[in-house]
This record gives sequence, structure tokens and C-alpha cells, in this order.
Amino acid sequence: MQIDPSDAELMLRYRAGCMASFEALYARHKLPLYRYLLRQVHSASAASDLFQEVWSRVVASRDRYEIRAQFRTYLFHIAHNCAIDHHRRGRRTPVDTGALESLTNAPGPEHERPDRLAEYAEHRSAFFRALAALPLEQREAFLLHEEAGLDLTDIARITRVGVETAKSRLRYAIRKLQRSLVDLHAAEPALPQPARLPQPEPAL
Amino acid sequence: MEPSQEITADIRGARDVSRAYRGFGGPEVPPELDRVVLRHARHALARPPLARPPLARPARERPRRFMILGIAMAGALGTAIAVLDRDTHHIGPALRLLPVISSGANGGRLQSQQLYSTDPLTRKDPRRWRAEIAALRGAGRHAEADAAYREFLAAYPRDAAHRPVDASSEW
Repeated sequence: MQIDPSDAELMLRYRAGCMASFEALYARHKLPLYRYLLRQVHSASAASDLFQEVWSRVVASRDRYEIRAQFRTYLFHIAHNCAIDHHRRGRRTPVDTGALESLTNAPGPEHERPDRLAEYAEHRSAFFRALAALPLEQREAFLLHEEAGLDLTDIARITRVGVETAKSRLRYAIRKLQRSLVDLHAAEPALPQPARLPQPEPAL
Repeated sequence: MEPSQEITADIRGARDVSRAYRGFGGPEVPPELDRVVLRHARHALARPPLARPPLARPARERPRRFMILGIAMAGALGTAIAVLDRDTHHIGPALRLLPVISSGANGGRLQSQQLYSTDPLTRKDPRRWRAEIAALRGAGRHAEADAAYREFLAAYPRDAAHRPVDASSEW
């Protein structure tokens, strides 16, 4: 496994007492981690709690940290466990409209004409709704792939399944999201680079 | 769809979906969350890490620790047995006498009082012991009386100077 020396080095420096190293490490990973958690639990408040918990565990375990894998894998392994605990505690919150608004109502690209901004926002909203509608395992595989940038081996390790299962989950997630893009473009071709690959979805 | 076409479609679909996902962007981390996390990390550096409770340690370490604990306990137990055995030998005669005197009239009572006693304070009174030996000898049970007297002498060597309790004895 390829080890990311810079992340590991930052973690080791933080363990030695260098706060600036932690700040650099945090800045590097905070955004993918926050988005991963937010899209897993669909609640801004729950995502904030889990976000703090993940970093708190990283801080608490700094003396036991060993360079055995990429720091990113380590971080998202903790995040996965926190999210699973959250779901097991039955704290499935209904979809937080505030969180979804923050996901879907961001301004579009500046080069877009004003008359297409609403259209863009609609497509964006539809895409994230499709993402939110994915089964938990498929959504997680997709988010670990896209946000954390992990490969199938690491996704399988974090989610404690075989590589083939992880691959299958990721593939189904991509097909469903791809279909949502196709549906959007079939209705109104507004997005750049439309995907036009209607495929029958195999039974899970 | 042919497998090769399917793979090609999957790759292209993954690229499209990935591009759309990244292009749509997402929320930023709230600044107050940044402050909370960084403050916590800073404070953690200021205080020493807490020692982990034993069960919080990785499972791989536990057998080794339990093995060391087991060896230590076995050593302590062995030492205790050795000390106990030495003490038992010291007062052994009192214990070894029990089968002899238990056959007597008061045997059951004596056994209940002194069985397995390792306390020197619970040894038999020498006068009473000699009286029992004399009683055995008086009943004509000389072999038992001789054995009991040997035990008596082992327990009370100083009393070896005393005259035999029974004048008719060969001692």
C-alpha cells in the first residue's frame, strides 16, 4: 500500500507537539470529511457532531497512530465507524431541508447566464436528491470514492466487505446517478457533458 | 450489451458522474466548527494523554499481559505453597498424630478441633497428650502408644527428658 508520507509526517509532528502540523492536516481533509458526513446523515447538526467526534478521536489517538496506511484511509475509517454508530443509535434524522438547501442552492458557475441559473440549480438539486436516495452502502462507496479519493481496496477495507462487493456497490451507485443525469438531459439539455448511456440496472 | 461495451460505458458513466458531482460542488465547513476542532486539538497538546484502561488496549496485547499476570500468580502461589509446606512440616507431628488419636474415644472431637491446623497455638497440650499415650498404653495398645510417643517427642523435643508417662513402658 502506498503511504502518504506528508500526511503521516504531519500527524507525527502533531503528536510531537506541533499544532501547525495539525492545522495543515485539518485544512487538507476537513472539506471531504464534512461533505462525506453531511451526505451520509443528511443533517447539518448531526454532521457537525460527527465531524467533531471524528477529529476528537484522531486527536485522542495521536499517541497510538502508526503509519500502516494512508492517513486518509485512517480518517475515513473513523468517520465510517462514527456514521455507522450514528445510524445504529437510531438517530436517523429526517432529511434536513436546511442541509439540503446548503447542498443544492449554492450559486452556479459565473459564466452561466442568469436565465440558466435556476435551471442549473434544479439539475444540481435533482442530482443530490438522487445521491440521497441511494442505499446507504452504495452512497457510502460512492462518497468514499469521490470525496476521500479511495480506491476499491480501501473502500472494501473500511466498509468491511470484499473488494468485489465494494466494486459492485460503487458501480450501482454510479449507474443510478448517471441515470439521473440522463433523465435531466432528456427533459432539458442544459448540463454540459451530458451522459447518454441508458442501461438496464441489474438486480441487486 | 457486450462485456467490453459495458466496461466502457461504466468508465464513461463514472467519469460523467464524477465530473457532475465535482462540478456541482458542496457546502463548506462552518467556521465555528473549525474553531471548535482546532481549539480541542490545541488543548489536547497542552495536557498529557490519558493512560488507556487495560481493556482499551488492542486485543493483540491482552494475551501477552494475561500470560505475564498468570506467570506471576503461579509464582506467588508456588511460594505460598512452599512456605505453607515448611510450616506444616514444622508442626507436622500434631497433624500426623490425628489418625492415631482419632481411633480413641475422643478422636472425633480432637480431629474436629485440630485437623489441618497449622497454628502452633492449637497444638495439643503436652500433659494431655502424655495422658492419652498413657491411656493407650493402659489399654494394652502399645504399638499405638509407641507411635504416638514418637510423634510427641518430635513435637516436643524438650519433653524427651521427661520420664515416660507409663512406668511399665520399655522407655
